[in-house]
Formats: sequence, structure tokens, C-alpha cells
Amino acid sequence: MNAMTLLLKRIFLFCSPFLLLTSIYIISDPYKIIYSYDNYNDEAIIFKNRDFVSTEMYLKNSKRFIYDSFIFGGSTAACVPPSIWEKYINTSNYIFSFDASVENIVGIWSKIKYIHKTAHPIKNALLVFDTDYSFKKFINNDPIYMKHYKIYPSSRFDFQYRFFLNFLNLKFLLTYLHYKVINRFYPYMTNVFINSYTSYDVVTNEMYAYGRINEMKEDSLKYYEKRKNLFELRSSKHLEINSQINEDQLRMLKEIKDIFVKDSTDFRILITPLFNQIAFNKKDLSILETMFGEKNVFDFSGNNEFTEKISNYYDVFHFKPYVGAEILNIVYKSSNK
Amino acid sequence: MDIISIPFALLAIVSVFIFYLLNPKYRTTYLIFLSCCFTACFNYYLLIYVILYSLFNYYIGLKIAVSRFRKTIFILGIIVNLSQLVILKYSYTVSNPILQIFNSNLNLSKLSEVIVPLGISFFTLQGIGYLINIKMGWEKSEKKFLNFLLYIIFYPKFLSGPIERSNHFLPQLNIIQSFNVQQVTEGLRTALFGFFKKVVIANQLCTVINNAYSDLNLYSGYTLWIVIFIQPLYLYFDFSGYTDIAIGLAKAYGIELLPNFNRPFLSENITTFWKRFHMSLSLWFNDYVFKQISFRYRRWGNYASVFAVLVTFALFGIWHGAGLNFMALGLVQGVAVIFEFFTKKKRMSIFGKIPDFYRIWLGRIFTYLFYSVALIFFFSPDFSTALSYFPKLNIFNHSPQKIIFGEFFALAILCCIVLFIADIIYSDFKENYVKLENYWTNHKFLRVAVYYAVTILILSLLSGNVSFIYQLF
Repeated sequence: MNAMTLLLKRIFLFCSPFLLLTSIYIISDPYKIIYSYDNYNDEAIIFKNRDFVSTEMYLKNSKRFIYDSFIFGGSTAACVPPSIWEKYINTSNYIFSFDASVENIVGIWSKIKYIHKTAHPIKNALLVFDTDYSFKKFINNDPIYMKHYKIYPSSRFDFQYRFFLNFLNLKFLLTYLHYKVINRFYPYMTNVFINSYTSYDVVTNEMYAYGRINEMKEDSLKYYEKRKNLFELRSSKHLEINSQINEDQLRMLKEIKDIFVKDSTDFRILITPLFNQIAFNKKDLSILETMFGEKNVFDFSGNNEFTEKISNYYDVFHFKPYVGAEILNIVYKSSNK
Repeated sequence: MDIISIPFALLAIVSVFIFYLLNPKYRTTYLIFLSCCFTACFNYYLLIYVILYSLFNYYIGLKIAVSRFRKTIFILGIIVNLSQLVILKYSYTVSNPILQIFNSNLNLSKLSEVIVPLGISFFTLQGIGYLINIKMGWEKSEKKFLNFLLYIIFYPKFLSGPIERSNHFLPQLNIIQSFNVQQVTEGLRTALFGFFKKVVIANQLCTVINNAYSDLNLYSGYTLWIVIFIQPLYLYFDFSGYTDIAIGLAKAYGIELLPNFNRPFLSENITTFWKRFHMSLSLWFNDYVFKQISFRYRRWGNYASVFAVLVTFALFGIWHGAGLNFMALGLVQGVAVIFEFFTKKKRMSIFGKIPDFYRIWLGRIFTYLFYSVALIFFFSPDFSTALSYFPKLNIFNHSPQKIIFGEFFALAILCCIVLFIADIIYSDFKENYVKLENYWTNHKFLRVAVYYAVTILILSLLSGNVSFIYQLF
């Protein structure tokens, strides 16, 4: 028995620094996933799981505000924000931007189902799809993109565990501890932290990318010069992504459609203009058009007036709000004809 | 449950201490309980299936020992064992096409989707080995079902071996283990080293190989050559990492599992290589297939050995999968072993003139290269992809996509080199190894520092977890 106690003591002593780290993690909650917060804009330099933040905001706010209009999609959905969209829809209630990083149809489907089950009918909906990843095979294992366990049926433990592992990454851990102790941002930290200030509206969840807007305002040429490697060379040929919509996704689309029909939702689906000019697959597009009606589906991918100019973009995915406004103009004008 | 995870490691450590706190008569039941929980984490049906499988083999084992129809019962046992393997593991490639010939609409692959036959190749060989041992009189049948069930389902080895022998495993269950600090510490240390091999080395090498095989056309000959040289390292560190975890954990419970690797990359020829790589599998095939065939056809002289080698290696390949690529992998190894067998004298006369040091290293390098190239058949998704790999090795002039090496690839290679040097010192410079070992034993601070470094690296790289290759078998 003594030998066992001795070994247990040795193991405990060996593990004590790791226990200390675990305590730091639990107390400081760097990713803001352990405790509930009213405002997720604090410590904006640390990346947060956008799906988690949007969902938490929604769960908290929906008790105080009546939301009946929703924007669903990935980070590109933030390019058609509530402040622009509200001009095109008819509602006296609140709009909520229910976006998530690299949002997949699985995420959109689970959110719509959840809202339908638990809240008021969805009066207006804007589904923002991306050519690249909206219909890609979804694996719920990357902390940045994992889905909120309360909405997408998944393990809460697994969600928390993967974030904890992320915290234990030596690069993150050392940078984080350094930042916490010194409370100053050093250039090397850009490898781990976000160096561009972004905040979110606490009611509508609308994104304000102040960092890049200010940078652009200061010197737009320099802005693009700094990022010239990110804006890849494009082929002049017409390129189209392979068909991606599978049986499961078809079922999800069908369920979304049924909910919209039940709720008499005024909805639009738009496929975003990505800078790479790769077009959304024609077969997939016709599936969407058949399912949701041609008048509700708008494809802005491929070679067109929006994707032509680099100045329309902040980066290869995210177009500027005026482009978003023009797109919504087209979407709602042609639908109302 | 994912083996490479903090919860698994913590639960395993706690379970070791609980094991020794329990009354010895409950320990087997306790290990069975842990193993059942582990198996059920993957699939409940798999757990039920494994219990039924164990019950069947246990019963057949008892019957073979006492029945007048022992041969018939033995054959029945082997047929059932092989059939369940073919039905559950090879349903897509073997059983379904056979059924289609007979116009049957039965889709057996549905069954494997329900049961999810993880570890089936490993526990089937254990079941068959047990029945052969009983039939041949090499071992008495196990009277206690719980002991036999633990032999099949023991969780550290359940998914990827080592492939245990019943006459090695079962007798250990009758020995009452008292808590031994050295044994438990050594076991946990081995397991920690296994985690290190898997997370810090294998997972970092994996990116390159996965990228390359996702589309060979994207990469130049240079890249594909690099992939070839990395393949054996990846496979070895992935698999031996798992084996170390299994052996280490079992040791902490006081159970010795069979070794699976013995510094394989220091082998001077392919024949020796297969005595040092995946040893539990190659020894199983050696004892239960090769020796039986060569004995049965001993009248054929040397040709009996040739035939036995080819059959053994073909089955060895098929054990990994039903595709032609796996069969080719096995046959290529078989042909090399036969070549070495027939040219032994000739090679001795030629290479005997070269100084030992150069001869040994020439052999080691050649063996490594041969195995590296042969692994194309292992990693390729099918035979045609494997064949298409070879002509691409000559294409150096097109502008290819750059391969993604991953952030910690260099660290992984550095670790490979350090471990390889340690192996060389152990194998070729025994005296220096003893000195190093003494130094290690006498410097507690160094040991603690290394354990911390290893643990920190594991924890730091754990977030990019990748599953085991051999878990697929």
C-alpha cells in the first residue's frame, strides 16, 4: 500500500504543472466557451468559435427580443448584414445574423430546425451559400468550426475537450500566457491571435470589421499591396466546382423547405461571389432552384461584374458591404417583379 | 473511445490503481468490465458479437479436447471463424460478389455496417490460434470462460494487437499480481513513449502521405520519392506507438503481451525484417501457416518451402485487405524472401569480401528501400493506383503542387533520427548503450526533464489527432 501511495504521489507531483494549466484554462476561459457572457467582444484577439458565439447570443437574446428574421450562412453572410437587409424585408421585430465560420448546410439546417421548434415562426430568411464549403462533407471536429452542442446533436464534452486541447498547443499557450502577463500585443503574436479588431452587435449579431475598414480607409493601396499574395491569380476560363449535394443534404434542404412553407417564410437563397470566380455547380444550382423555386435562388458566383474587381473585396471571400447592398437590390428587385 | 486522448490516458491510469486495490479474485472480471466498456464505446453490437464469438470458440475448445469427433469439431470451428471474418470484413470484395453469382439479393455488407467489426482480424487470428493449439495438443482448453473472454477482448490489445497466443496470455491470468512499483512505472513509461511515437512522430508524417495519395497526379517525382522514404517511418511509428501503449498498459496490470517490433529498420535482409516487424502477426503466420504447409509438403524438398512462403505471404497480404494491392504487397515480400533463400550462398560469397560494417549497412539500406517501395501497395487505395505510382517517379519536369509537410514535420523527422541513433547504439555499440543507460538511471533531473518534454509535446500536438492505420484491420 505504501508503494502505491508513493507512486500516486509521484504521478500527482509530475502532473501538478498540468493541473495548474488546467486551472488557468478553467478560470480564464480564453475561448469564452465555459461560462456564459453578455458580450463576446472582449479579448477580440483570441479567435472564438463563431457558431458557438452566435448560438449563445441567440439563446440568451431570444428571451428578451422577438426575432423573426434570420440571416444564415458562413462568414460571407456578414457581407449582407442585418443593417442592409432590413431595408428589403417587412418586419417590425428584430433581425438576427445567425452566421458561423465556414458554415455548412448541416449548420444551417440544424439552426432552422431549432428555431422552428422553439421560437416564433421565421418570417424572413436569407440563406447565404458559398461555392467552396456550404455543401462540403462536414466533420464536426475542428474547434473553430464545431457546432454548438445545444443545436447540432453532438457531444458537449467533445466540444469542450477539443478546445482544451487547442489551449494546450504550446504555441498558443506560450503566446497566451505572455499576453496575459505583459498585457501587450507583440508582432509575433499575429501567428496565434487575430490582429484585426472586429466586434459584433449584441442584439443583431452584426459584424463590424473595424480593423480592416480603418486599414482600408488609411491607405487602400497599401491594404491590397500587403495582401497581394492572398489574392490568387485567376484563370480566364470558366471554372465550375464539382457537384457536392448528396442524399443527406437533399433531405436537409427538403426539411428547410418544409419549415419555410409551414411558417410562410419570405426567403431568398444567394450564392456569394467569391474572388476565385469558380462557379457554383450547375446541377447543384438546379437542385436548389427546383426545391426552392427559381425566383428565390440567386447565383452570383463565377465571372461577373462583382467578382471582376479586386476593390470589391476585403479578401478572397469577403466582399464589401456596398457589393452586398447591390446584390440584395438585384435579389429583391427581381423577386418583386 | 479515442485511445490517443487525455480522458483515455487518465482513465487507464486510474484503472491500474483500482486494479491493485481489488481482491485478486475479482481482477479478471474487472478487466473484462473495462474491456466491455471500451468495446461498447465503439459499438454495442460489436460488444455483443465479440462475447458470442468468444463463447463459440470457448465451447469448441472444450469440445475438441473431449469429443470423439474432435477433427470435425475443429474444422467446424475454423470454418466458422474464417466465415465470420469473410462476411464481416470482406463483404464488399468477396462475399457480396459471390452471392451475386448465385443471384442472391442478400447484402452482407449491411451486417458489417451494424456490427462495425473493429479489431476482427486480430481477434479472429487469436481464436483460430487457440483452436489449433487445442487440436494439436499444444495447450489444454481453458475451463474458465471469463479468462477466455479476456483473452479475446482485453482492451489494450483489442483494436490493433499484438496478436496474443492463448498459451502465453491465459496462464498469466492465474498468477496473483501484487503491486510492483517498478512494473507499473515501466508499463506507464512504455505507454507514454507509445503516445509520443503516435502523436509527435506518426501524426506529423501522416499529412504528407495522405496528401500525396489523395491525388498522385498533383505531385512531381521528387515529392513522390520523398513520400516513399517516409512511408515506412509513418507506418512503423503509428503502429509501434499503438503497440507500446498496449504493451505498457498491459504491463501495468501485470500482464505481459507479446512484442511486436524489434528495431526492424536495422534488419540486413527482408527475411530478418519480417522477424522484427509486426512480429506477433508474422510469427502467427509462421507457426500456423508456413510450418504446417512446409511440413505437409515436405516431400517436395525446397519447393515445399517456396510454396509455403508464397501462400503464407499471400495470406499475410490478404489479412490486411481483400484488394489486389494487398495481395501484391504480400507476394512481393514472399518473392524477396524466396530470392534471399536461394541466393544465400552466392550472396555470402560476394558480400563476404566486403568489410562487415559496409556489408551490414548496405543490407540495412537496401532492406529499407525495398520495404519503402513495396509499401506503395499498402498505402494505395487500389492496385491500379499503386501501379500508376511507379511511372510518376520519373516525372521531374512538370510544375507540381507543393506538398504540405505540416508544421511539425521537421520535428518528427528529428525525433525519428534521434530514436534511430539510439537503436543503432543499442544494436551495434552495446557498451556505449550500457553507459548511456547508466547515465540515464543516475540522473533523475534529466529523466524528469525528458518526461516533461515528452508530455508537453504530446499535449501540444494532441489537437491534430489522427486515427491508427491498423485500427482499420
